[in-house]
Amino acid sequence: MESTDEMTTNYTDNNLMSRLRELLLEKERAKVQNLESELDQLEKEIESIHSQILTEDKVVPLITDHMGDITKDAVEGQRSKMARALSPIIGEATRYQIQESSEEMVEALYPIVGAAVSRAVAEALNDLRKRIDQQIRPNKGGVEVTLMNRLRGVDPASVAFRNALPFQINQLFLIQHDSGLVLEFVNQNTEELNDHDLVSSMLTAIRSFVNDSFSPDSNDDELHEVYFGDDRIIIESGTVAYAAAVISGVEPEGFRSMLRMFVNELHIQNKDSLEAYDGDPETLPDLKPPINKFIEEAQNKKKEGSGNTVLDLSNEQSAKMMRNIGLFAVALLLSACAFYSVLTYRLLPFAFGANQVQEAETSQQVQEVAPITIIVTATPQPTFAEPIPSPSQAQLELKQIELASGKWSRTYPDSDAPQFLAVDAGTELNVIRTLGSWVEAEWDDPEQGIVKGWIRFDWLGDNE
Amino acid sequence: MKTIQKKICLLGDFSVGKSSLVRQFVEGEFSDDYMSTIGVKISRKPVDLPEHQVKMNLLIWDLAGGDDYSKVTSGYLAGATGVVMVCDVTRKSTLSMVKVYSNQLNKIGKANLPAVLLVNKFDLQNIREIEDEQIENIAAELQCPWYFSSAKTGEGVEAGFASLANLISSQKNTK
Repeated sequence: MESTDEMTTNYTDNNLMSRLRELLLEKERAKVQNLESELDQLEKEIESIHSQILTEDKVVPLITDHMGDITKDAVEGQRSKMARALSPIIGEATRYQIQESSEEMVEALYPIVGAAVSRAVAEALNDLRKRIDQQIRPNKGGVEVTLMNRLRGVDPASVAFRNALPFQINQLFLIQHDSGLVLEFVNQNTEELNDHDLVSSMLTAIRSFVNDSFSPDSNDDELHEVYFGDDRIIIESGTVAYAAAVISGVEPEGFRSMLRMFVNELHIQNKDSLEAYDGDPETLPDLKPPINKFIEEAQNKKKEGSGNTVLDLSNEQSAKMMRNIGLFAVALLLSACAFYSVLTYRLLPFAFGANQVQEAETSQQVQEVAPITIIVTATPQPTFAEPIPSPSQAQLELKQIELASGKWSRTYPDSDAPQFLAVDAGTELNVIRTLGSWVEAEWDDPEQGIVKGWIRFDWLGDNE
Repeated sequence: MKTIQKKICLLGDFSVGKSSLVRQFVEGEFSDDYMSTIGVKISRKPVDLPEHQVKMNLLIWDLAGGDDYSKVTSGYLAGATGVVMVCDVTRKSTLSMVKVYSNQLNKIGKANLPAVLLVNKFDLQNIREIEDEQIENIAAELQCPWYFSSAKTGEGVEAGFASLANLISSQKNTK
């Protein structure tokens, strides 16, 4: 009975617990069920969406519409990150694009590449022009010039090419120094210049700025040239006004000096009116004719070509020329030496008599084999430069010697020293001291009495 | 009527409105954006002077302002036939700078250069710091006419430049 009671109690407890759970968790269970059903629904929807968009023909149109905006936002927001991400494929993409549609790429790039190439070519031509201009300078024309150019290592074709390059003076301004007012303006270009008054003023301001900034204490340093695009402004200054020539292409050799001379000439002829100019054009003479004449001359000079140009020494190829000249000079010197030696040898018999030369030769031979016995001559003989033998200890100890042949003494111990007195053969010399190969000796000169002088030791003959 | 050319310069402290005055005078426009002038800006404006029977092409050199009156600025003044001094009615210090510029002109031998004083930004006169009396004193010292001007509204701009053109022309005629 007891166990039946216990079972009944347990059953009742279980029911109560179950009932209690239902009461407490009923709402949560319902919620969980709802969530589960919603989750199932969502999973179904996701699968449905996946199945819809994960095909190429559906994805591409969806993205394409927004791709531009997305990329733009990304580039603006994360510029460096985008650059890093895209850079590896840009080169490849460009190559691919060029392969696929090269004409389109050429058309697209032409405005940029064309201008860059044009500028590069213009710069290269200008460099070439400068190089050649550094090598050439005005001289006489014709064969001489060609020869000089050849000698100095410049290919005549280079000079011809340089002169064949186009040249045009587009505009020429004559501008008052301080005010920047235009004294005269000539436009050779087909295109009108916007406002030459403003251009000249601005150019003057730039000149003033450069001069005052970089050489405030010097009136000589000035702006001489301005590059802009493919054109240049060459500036040459006079005391009151300066000329600014706007040129394109390669100017003829000496153009700058031509311009300088032109400005100087204008100043000489019109200095007063140029100086007094206060903005009233009526006070100025007509400057157009001389300007036009100058332009014409400059253009003609260009057309005439380079018949009158030779190289300057101060360029890299001058080294070549100097080398050639050096070799030529050495060869010339060697030839002269050889000629002089032969000539001297041939003339000896005429100068000193055949017997003397023969005897001298014999005496030299004797010197080599036996103690010297120099034949006394009536007149002192010229002494020739020879290797000077050093005296032996025994020789140095000599106190008195007798000169075997007449010699010239010297004022100091050097072969190049002035000749002092002729010492006749047989003269007794008292040796005072020795210095290297020289001895200072004292002797009794027939005219001047006791004198002192230097005599080379080997001239003393057989004193060994 | 013959046409003559004259170079004039604008001088004044920074941000007094020199460039705006020139723009108003030459183009009839004004902008609130302030861009400091670097070095110099040059403009051209023809002015008719019927009383002198000339048309004067004014080449206006608008020089960068500031208290660093450098040698560069004096280089720009070379060859000028007149100057427009500009100060800002809302900043008293700019009037003192007019005096400084005037002294510098004297130093480079341009004491007798025809000049006009423009007291600019008159449209902001409610916050003005410069009194009429102060302006008159300076103008008397410089011996030049003065005008209130406003680059924004255009008031006094034409009159100021025309006055300078007349002075230049008169000086030339009296020579």
